[in-house]
Amino acid sequence: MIGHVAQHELRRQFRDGRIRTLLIVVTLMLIASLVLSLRDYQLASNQYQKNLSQARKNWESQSTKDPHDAAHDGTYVIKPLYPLAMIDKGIKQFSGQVVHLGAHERKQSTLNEAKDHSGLFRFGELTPSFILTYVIPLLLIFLGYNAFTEEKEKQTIRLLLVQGALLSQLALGKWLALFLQMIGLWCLLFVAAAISSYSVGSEISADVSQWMALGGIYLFYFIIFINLIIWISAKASSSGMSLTVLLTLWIIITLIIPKASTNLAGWSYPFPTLQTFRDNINEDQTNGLNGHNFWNEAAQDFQQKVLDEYGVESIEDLPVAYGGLLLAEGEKYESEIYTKHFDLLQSQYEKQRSIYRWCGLLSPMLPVRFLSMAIARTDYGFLWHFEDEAEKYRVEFNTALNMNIAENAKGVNRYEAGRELWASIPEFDYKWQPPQEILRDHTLEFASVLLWAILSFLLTVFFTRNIQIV
Amino acid sequence: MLEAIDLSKSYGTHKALQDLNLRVASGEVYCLLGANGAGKTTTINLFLNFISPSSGEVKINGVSVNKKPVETKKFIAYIPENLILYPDLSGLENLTYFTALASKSRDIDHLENLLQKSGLHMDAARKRVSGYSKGMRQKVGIAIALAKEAKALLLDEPTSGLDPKASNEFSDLLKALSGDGTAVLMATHDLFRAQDTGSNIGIMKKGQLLEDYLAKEITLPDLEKRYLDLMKD
Repeated sequence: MIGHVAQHELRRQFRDGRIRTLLIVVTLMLIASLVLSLRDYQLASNQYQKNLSQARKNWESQSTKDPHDAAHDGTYVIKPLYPLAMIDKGIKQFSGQVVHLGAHERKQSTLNEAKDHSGLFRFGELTPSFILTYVIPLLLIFLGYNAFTEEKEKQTIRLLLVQGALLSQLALGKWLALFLQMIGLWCLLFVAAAISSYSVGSEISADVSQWMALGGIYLFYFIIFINLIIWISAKASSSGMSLTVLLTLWIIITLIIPKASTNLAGWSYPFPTLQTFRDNINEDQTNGLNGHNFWNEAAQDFQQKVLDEYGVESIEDLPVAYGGLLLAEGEKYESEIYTKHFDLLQSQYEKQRSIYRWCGLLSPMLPVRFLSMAIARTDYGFLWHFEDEAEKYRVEFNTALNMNIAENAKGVNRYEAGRELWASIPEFDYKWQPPQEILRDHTLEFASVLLWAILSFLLTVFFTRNIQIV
Repeated sequence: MLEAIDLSKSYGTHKALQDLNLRVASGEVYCLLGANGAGKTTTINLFLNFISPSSGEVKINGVSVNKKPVETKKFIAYIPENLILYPDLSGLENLTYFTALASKSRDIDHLENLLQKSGLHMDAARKRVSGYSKGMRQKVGIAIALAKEAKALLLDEPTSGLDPKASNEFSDLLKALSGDGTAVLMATHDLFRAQDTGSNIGIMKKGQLLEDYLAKEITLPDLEKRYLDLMKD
């Protein structure tokens, strides 16, 4: 019975020229967004490989110099691009792609894509995630707003019921028809994106489970909309009323709640200004070790500790160059200060996320977007994970150079190292955050999406059983 | 086959139907006459279980509509005053869909025969319903009833708006159906059609069945006179 109803709905819709046009337009938009994303991904992947090898080449081909001067010149690490970013670019365009790793200072990513465009870039791009988040729910509304109301208006529902169909069977049949239309577009996007991402030949690949996870999140999102559409259409007194209510819901879910929650999160837990952030770090650094200040209290304490460790009376008696030890220790100390302040920023962001999580109970789009960006590795979680890993590498990188000074500069007027040292410094090998860890960090978002899907489905099943026929 | 026992329906203080007792046996065509608001459509809706009775009981083939609504649907077919089918589908496709819902044979040859039996030409049956006249749609409605092998047919003003020829063809179809043993309950304003097609005629007013006759025992002029007398306040 449910299959007959679904088949009938699909046949009717494909015979309707307006629906056919709508489906063609959305399909073309989807294909266009995919082609554009694939082109961007291809360019970005090539650029990534090129920049990565260039940065290493620049590092290794440095002339002979003081290792600490080399540390000041530093090197660059490039943020990798996960293939799923083809679907959801998240904050990628507005966050930097490159981190400069130098001595004494933790820097944030720079060179973001948005800076290469005009201010109009903020209007947004045609991306698969835009189509998935905004356009397909809208398409589903236009396909299904009159699923029940038209039957009621034309009284065909009476004939259907007399033929023995139950309201719940009609609802599930209509639900299935919408689902099948949606799944067609869904498959087109995700299968084409997955296949084309492999064709790019990037060294970074996402396994099928990751594609499935991202696709699954959007599948739940669409199911929530289908549930709401069938429910509203069953309860509404007319097709016009049903369309009005559904469009209002779409505006609330996709526009009002997400934008209002951003304002609320920023207002409740504001980030410090860049100036304040830097001032706070400077204040903490003033009285600590910085590698170049031999005379402050912290440096004096460290000196005594080193002398005690080696069992000598003065720096001159040390078997190593004390300057290298001080630089290495200063680097660790400064890094701890940066870590403390960046952790504060991250904890502020976590507080903001709690606002988004609560607002996710009002709009399923919020948890879906957070999950989507997280799985695509284009969210703040990825940005910070990458920058934290880069910072760890920066400390190791500086420690290796400074310890080289400590080991080799004793008694040398001006110590300089060459390419052998530069080549011995290991390359930055970024390890992606494991998917399980990402999922664990987003358990509440996932629970929220699941709750929406289950509750809206129950609404559909229970409330369509009692439609007023007369 | 169709039975109403002390059947009443009220909406607040308004009594739409009062203590209706009615029986339509297999092969009978019972025509309910009455002005608008007399309770004819309410009676049909109660048989269809679209509304629940305030008191009394409705039975189809001996089965209570209220207690076993799904089971009673197996026995009945329904044609409303203005049968609107799916305009983007052909008559045959509409018939196929409704027959599928009734879990009956969807053999195309069989369904085409039924449409022809209902008076719809095959070239028309393959065209989209959006171009059909009301009479053609009613014929598809009859074919739906035939395909379902319904034991009872409920009709609500089926001939209103039909031209005399189409109306006459429709009457002939009803007679043929009742001849095959189908019980027919038809609400109508059309005295001529009731007298011509019906085996029984009931006159309703303000939710009450005031009088009923065997069609063969009353002439059209007498029926008209009696109807007009009863409609006077």
